[in-house]
Amino acid sequence: MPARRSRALRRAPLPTLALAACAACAGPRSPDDVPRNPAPPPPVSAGAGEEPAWDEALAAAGEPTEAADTAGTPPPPVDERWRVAPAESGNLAVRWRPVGDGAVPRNEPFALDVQLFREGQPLSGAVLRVRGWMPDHGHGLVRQPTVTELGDGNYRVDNLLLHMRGLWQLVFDVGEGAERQNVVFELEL
Amino acid sequence: MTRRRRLRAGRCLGLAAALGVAAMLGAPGRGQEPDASGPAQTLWTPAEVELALELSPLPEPPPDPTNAWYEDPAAAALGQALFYDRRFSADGRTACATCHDPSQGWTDGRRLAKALAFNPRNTMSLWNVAYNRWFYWDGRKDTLWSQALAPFEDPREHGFDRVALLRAIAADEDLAARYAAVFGPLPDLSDGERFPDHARPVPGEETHAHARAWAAMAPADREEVDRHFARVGKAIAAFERQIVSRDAPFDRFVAALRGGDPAGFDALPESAQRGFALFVGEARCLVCHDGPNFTDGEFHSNLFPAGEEGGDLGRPRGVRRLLADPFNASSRHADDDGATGRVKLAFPPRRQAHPPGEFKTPGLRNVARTAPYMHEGQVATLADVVRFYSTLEGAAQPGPEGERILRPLHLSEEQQADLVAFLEALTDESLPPELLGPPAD
Repeated sequence: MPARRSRALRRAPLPTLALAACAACAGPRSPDDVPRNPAPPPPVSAGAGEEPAWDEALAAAGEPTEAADTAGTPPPPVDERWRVAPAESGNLAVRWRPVGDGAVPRNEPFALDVQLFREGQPLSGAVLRVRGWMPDHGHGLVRQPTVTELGDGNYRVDNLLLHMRGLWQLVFDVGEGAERQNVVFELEL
Repeated sequence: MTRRRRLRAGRCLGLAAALGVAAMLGAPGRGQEPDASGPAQTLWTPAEVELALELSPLPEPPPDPTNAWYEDPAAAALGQALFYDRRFSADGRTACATCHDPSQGWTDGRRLAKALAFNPRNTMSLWNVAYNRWFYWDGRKDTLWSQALAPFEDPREHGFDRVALLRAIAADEDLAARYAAVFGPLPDLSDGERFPDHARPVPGEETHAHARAWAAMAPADREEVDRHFARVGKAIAAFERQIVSRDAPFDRFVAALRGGDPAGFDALPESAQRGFALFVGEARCLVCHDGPNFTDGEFHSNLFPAGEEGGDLGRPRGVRRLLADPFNASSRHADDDGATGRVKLAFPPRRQAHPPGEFKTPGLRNVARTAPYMHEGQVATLADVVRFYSTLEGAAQPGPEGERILRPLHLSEEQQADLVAFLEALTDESLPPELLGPPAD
């Protein structure tokens, strides 16, 4: 087992640790031995009333939201396709949605808007890598996604291709210095 | 009807209604009596109907931005003439159509391809070839035009070379005129000092006479020859793009479900309808044979034991060859300045490859006419193919890092026959007869 995984588990709050450990045991195979996350929260709802999606996303990530309130910038438009989940350590969150108006397509190239947060603040300068994995098939992506940092915690992932129907895990591998953390989303195509 | 099936069916009823497919609303589940008063003409559940609507019709072939002439009728006519011409070969008897014979499903009916010599793999059919993302069983080509170039210089196929090919086209008044009308005039190859009789790169055999002659040519002359050689491929690709099959009984049946000609309801016998339900359900064929051309266009291990070419890993070597190919989609011969190649040729690092190898998922339209099957033609009939996937008898063990998709299906004899009936209902060999030989004018 890779050392970085152990570190991540040690840092994780207890309930998360239990969930993560169980999920990792139950998973048939996982991408590059990446631990599976607890089930991600449901997509951010568009029906949040006065609550901007920005706050709701961070709330779902289990993080304080004051940063977004005081940022002085208007929240981005509500888009219920945003999905958000925290890393196991709890202080990192990943939010993503497909670029454009559509859903994630099957066997067609697509791109993602990604936002990274550390302690509720946009996380710039991270080394983001994205992998895909089909746990029921035992294979990953057939193309190499490319990542471009756009600033203010925004990143764009191009050249994604999920070539088959079924359950995919999208793994966001976030590196800061020597530290790496994975956030895994499950996606049924 | 299982609980799972009911759930899925229920989920898609909204879509069914939204599509206004009248037949779907009355579609009985298996084991239910059809509603004689409704328009129900199918055994399929709403979920199966929804999948059928995804799989038909097959749209037009996708554009090929790497080939500026892919839709040019004059280029296609030139390509057709080249495709059927036997002169561009070492024996003067081998054409593209030798192995891709329109009367044999655009393949050759052989286990292993044979032109001047045997090839280690089964000839792939050209039906719907323009829909491919990759070419060859191992995907070592990424465009149709680039694929069309390789057989001319393969010593087992045409055994020819690019300089001789261009010279032969120039020597034929009709071909030269067709070429000039599409691409502009061919270069003047009459100077034997600059352009030897035979010259081509021969990777791995630098002492080959053709390779030495090629190396002795001026770089600008080599470049000129390559530019026109690529155009020969682009003309052939424009012709091959017309080899499209998309009016099979399955398509006519689905068109009827959409409210089209109700005669289509008679196109798909009940056995084939049951076979479709198996195809998208219990038999799990759809996992790889997905989309309206019935392929995901990518590569998988079907665990078929290696035949005479034991140890053929397929895709990993195909990737290496493709990346080294001077005519790939990121090359200067691609008419989109490599934009397609920059996207397509971004491969993730590969894990270590182990046998059994990975090979391209073939599309299944007209599959009943392209026997034998598998990358080495190891299986004679569709019934044998279905039996193999049903039992996995004799299957190889997956490599330690290989995908785990296949599992024995344990299909009954009747289910296997139903699957074959469905595959046979993907047959549409109708093409304009003028495509089945050299152009008339």
